Amino acid sequence: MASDNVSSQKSLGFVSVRHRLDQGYFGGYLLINSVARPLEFHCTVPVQPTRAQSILFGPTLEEFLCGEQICRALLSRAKLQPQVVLVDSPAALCVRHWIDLPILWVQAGGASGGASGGTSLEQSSTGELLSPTSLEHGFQTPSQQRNASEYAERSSEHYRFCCLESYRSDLDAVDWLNESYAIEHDLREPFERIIEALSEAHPRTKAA
Amino acid sequence: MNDSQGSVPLEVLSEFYPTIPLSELAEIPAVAGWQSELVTETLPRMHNALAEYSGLCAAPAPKVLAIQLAHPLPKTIGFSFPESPHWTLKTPLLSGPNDGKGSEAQAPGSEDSSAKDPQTDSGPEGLGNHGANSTGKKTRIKPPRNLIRLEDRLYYVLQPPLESIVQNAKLTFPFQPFPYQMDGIAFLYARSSAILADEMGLGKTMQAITAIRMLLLSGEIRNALLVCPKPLVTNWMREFRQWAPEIPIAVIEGDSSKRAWVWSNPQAPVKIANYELMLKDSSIIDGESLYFDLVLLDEAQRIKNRNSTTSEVVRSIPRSRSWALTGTPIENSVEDLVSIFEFLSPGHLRDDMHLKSLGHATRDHILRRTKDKVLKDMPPRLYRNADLELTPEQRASYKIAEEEGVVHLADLGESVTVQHVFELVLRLKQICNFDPVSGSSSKLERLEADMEEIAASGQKAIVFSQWVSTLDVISERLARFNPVEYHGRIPSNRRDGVIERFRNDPSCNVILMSYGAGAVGLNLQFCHYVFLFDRWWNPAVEDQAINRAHRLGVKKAVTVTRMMAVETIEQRIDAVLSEKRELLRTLFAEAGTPTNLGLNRNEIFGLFGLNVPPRFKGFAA
Repeated sequence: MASDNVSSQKSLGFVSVRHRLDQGYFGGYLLINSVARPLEFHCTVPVQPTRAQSILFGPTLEEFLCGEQICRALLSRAKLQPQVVLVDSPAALCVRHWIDLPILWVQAGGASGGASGGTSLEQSSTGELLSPTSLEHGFQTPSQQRNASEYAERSSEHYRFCCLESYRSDLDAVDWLNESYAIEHDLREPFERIIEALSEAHPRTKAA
Repeated sequence: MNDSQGSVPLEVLSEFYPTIPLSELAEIPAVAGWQSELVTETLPRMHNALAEYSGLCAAPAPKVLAIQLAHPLPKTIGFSFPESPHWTLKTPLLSGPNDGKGSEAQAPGSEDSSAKDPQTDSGPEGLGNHGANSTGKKTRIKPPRNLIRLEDRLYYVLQPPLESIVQNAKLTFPFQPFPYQMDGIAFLYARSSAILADEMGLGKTMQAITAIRMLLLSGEIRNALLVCPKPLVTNWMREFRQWAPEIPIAVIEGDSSKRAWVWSNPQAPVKIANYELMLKDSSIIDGESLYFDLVLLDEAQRIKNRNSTTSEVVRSIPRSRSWALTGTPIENSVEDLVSIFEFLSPGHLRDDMHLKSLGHATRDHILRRTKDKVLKDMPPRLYRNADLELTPEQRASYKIAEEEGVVHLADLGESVTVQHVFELVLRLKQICNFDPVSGSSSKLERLEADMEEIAASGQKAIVFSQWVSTLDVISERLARFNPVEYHGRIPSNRRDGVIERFRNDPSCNVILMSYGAGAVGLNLQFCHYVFLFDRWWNPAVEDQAINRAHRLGVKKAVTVTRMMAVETIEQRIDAVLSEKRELLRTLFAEAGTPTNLGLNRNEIFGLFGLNVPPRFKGFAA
């Protein structure tokens, strides 16, 4: 039996924030190693915005909740520091202002075409338990929601990556991803695991 | 916030002024503006600079309120998981010493390829891009219900899909597993006590081997013991070579000193023992030095009698995980299932549990799939009831035997026993096969005719009987088809050779098997004709026999000919068993567990219209 210690130095982070109308926002952070095995998992309690927050943050409320609040809390609690953190919604990108790690929003459908920017999570086995934020709460792609110049974008064969323009160098992590991980793994799949784990951690979210 | 109150909703104001009741907020005069209430100490404070500036101006500027909204980060919970040191497979595990017989590894696909799926038979292969099989399905490991701690449950939930694990570990398979097989592997992987009860022929062996393989590679187990019937040891070795060629296997056999060495040999992570040897080596098994991370029982119905020595010895093996494989978790009654659970999880089931309670208690531990549900494209089983008239000689003998037998039973009166009835049944059934005087047989005439056609088309057939003596007679009559025999009188070391000849010799068109020896564990899916020369007492055993041919890899429909002499005891038995089969079907659909399948005492006596003597009443059948 080969004794191959898989290095945690090559860990990869995935953050997903999901929304339920009745309970608020749930965040999950999964750290995996280079062979996709879990190393750490963190999740938040449900976060419900106050009415004041809704008024004060206006259209940026989801950025505030997903990025500044939930993602920041999750990333700051992890023990391991990954090479790069992938998020599944643009609202989470603003966590980059507080965390010194490359943060990329990954979408299916790269240079080779294929799927649109829509999330594959909609087909998750637990999709009915925690509906994708994009469906339930109108998360939009950066190009639709905000000025495209605020984001830097890069495509690979199967994926499209975006980061905040002010952290354009984060896109350098795409090379590392393509070389060490994405060639053999589905970069969207760990988000499905996070959704499953959120339903385990918050049993009330399970469908009646 | 320099707007008037009139434009700010009350509920928002209430969030800024949580100490003021909503009714009072509503009463604040709009013309005065809500700023006039800022003298209250409980209200948010103003920036000093703005306050001073406002005092210097002749015309006071509106007061400005800066509200500091506290945004504490949400609470989180987190878990760390151990990183497996043995996950990827770089070199085959060939270095482990073995007993010289059981661990010679070969490249996958170089062994018996009879089980290959014809549609995907293209040599060793993984599972495609991004860890998904050809169906695009991702098989997730789900935690068992009895796993309580969230951390433990998340450990399984957060594992990558099985297809991804297979791909990462560079595992190859001789052919691509079916999606339901991946589900079975995921089911076993996460469970410390489990029964894989798939219908015969769906690949329980492959699923168990792959689950063991993945657990070994992940480091979650370090050693495993497989216990199977002795005739199936070589079959398991062959399957391990095919599905997990890198894993060294040690077969426990030989004299006592050699067995003792193999038992303690730490180099082979998988050991194979047979039930018969477990009794001889019970002293070793009871020793403190022996411990297995996993014990797997094949044909677990072997321990259906929990008071048997075999069952006791098996239950005494120190272990962490307990799995059982069986196509018939209940052969006769639910007590069979309770007995198997005494090995899996002692005390989990009780004999007196109601059927519904049993179903509820076992549903997370048992996985059973049937071919009609998971293999919709599999060639069908075509049943053909050969209802045959006895030859005149047979009829005459039968009539005499039955009349004398019934009279004898009646004469016995209160002293009649099940054994007496049973003896008469066996005698009549034998006459249905052959006339004891002349040897004439309508069944054999029909079989010969069918075999002519089968041999002419280059096909092969299996003939089952419950008597070896019957098989001997058949063998003589079918000599021109070069029959081979596989039954209890064939030494176990010759049985593999028999199977190989039947498989490879084109002139050998028929194999004659007894239900006992040939009903389990053999892969004969190249054979498309099965004859049940006489009928067994239990439809589950007949099904097992039929499934030697009708299993994964079968390319054509399997024709099953059930021979039955009309107006004889065989028809009466068949009627009872048909009812039971229907009952089984109903119960599996409703409760997930079948009930009694064999004949009970009432039914045995009822074959001759006899009532159960009073002294038997009140006893379990």
